[in-house]
Amino acid sequence: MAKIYTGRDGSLLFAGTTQAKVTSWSFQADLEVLETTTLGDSQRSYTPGIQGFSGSATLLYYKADDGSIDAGNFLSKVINAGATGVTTSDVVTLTLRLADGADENDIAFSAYITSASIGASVGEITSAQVSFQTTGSLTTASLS
Amino acid sequence: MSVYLGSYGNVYLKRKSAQGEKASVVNPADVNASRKRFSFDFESGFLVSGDQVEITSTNGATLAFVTSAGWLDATVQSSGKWYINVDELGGIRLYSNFSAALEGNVSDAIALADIATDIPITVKIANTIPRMLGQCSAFELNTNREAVDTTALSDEFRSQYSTLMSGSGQFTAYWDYIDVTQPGVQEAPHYLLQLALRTEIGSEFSAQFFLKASGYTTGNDVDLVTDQLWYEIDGIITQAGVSFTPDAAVQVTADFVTTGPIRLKAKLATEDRLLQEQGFGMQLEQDPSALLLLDKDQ
Repeated sequence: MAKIYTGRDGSLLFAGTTQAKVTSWSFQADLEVLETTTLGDSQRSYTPGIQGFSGSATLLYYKADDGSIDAGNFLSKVINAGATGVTTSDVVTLTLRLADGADENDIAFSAYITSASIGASVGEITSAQVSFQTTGSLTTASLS
Repeated sequence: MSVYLGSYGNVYLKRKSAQGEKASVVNPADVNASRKRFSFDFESGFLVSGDQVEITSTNGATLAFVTSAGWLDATVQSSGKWYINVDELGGIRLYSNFSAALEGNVSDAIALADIATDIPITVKIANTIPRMLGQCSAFELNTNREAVDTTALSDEFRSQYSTLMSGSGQFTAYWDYIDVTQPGVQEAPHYLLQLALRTEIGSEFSAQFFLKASGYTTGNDVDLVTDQLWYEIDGIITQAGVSFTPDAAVQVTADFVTTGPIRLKAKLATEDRLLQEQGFGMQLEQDPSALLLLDKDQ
């Protein structure tokens, strides 16, 4: 059945757990192309290079009934007091989902949180903006 | 249930200053004891006739320009509160009550004394008594609660989270600058125009907007006659205007926004009665002759 997807159909999963208060996510796929144009060619030609993926999300800084902070998983990856900084153990597994009932269209990947910001403003809800950079290939890409 | 008419609502204003006190100096030449007036450097509009001000010397010296007649204990001190009348030249006379300050008669002013040295002072508006806004024909108070959208992905209905509260409103009153029939009882509507021009200390005031005043009930239940319900706010005049047309009474209109909390208060019980949730008597730990003191109304 035909369907137009909206924010109602979207969700963000952190290590397989749906985050409750996500207000937006975005995902971008990039491909570096290597030029193979040679003398005598009339048009430029390219060959595929390295692929990369990145994205961002906005989450409300929200404390659930069990005391957990919804955005805390993301923030703690780059805002922490550890002396070792960010290591390979800080890779996170994210799934960006657009669902039509049981029909789930996912982009799943491992990524590093590359930036996180949070603030408080008078009269506004406190939210966290995080950016991520994938590492390795996508584990699931079922958008089509 | 009953239908209430606006004719029994009223507004009480209390003068105040938002930006605290002003520092200045009273020079010997500023005091004219024979005319009972003195002055110090202040911007036009800083003080308005009828203000109750607290004058304090900042170097610990007594306020020697106010004679002993101006003090309750007849002893000149370093700080005191008086009502003032400000004349057209910026001269100030001190009075012991509000109505006399509005009338500004020299004979009623507190006697002053010449001084020999400068007295550094601070002055702040220190009114404590709310007065009914005279000839008020209408008032409006709106409360506004801001809501922030907290709708998240996957939600099917918008969710909102309440945040800050604010208020605004408007007074309308028939313009007059003095109440000659009951001087000192009501605040003249002209004060709203003066308040809007108080650039140096701000146009802040406290107000009580009565939805139901004492002495009025729509039904036969006389127990409700003394009930009072009112909003209590601190506000800032944002706009004041007066319009003159040949075929209508002159009216003053003042818009305001609230600052700080907005409280909706009620006084539904008989005055001077201590309420408790239990039905039994209140036990005192002290001996039987001990008294329970009540902070009762006058």
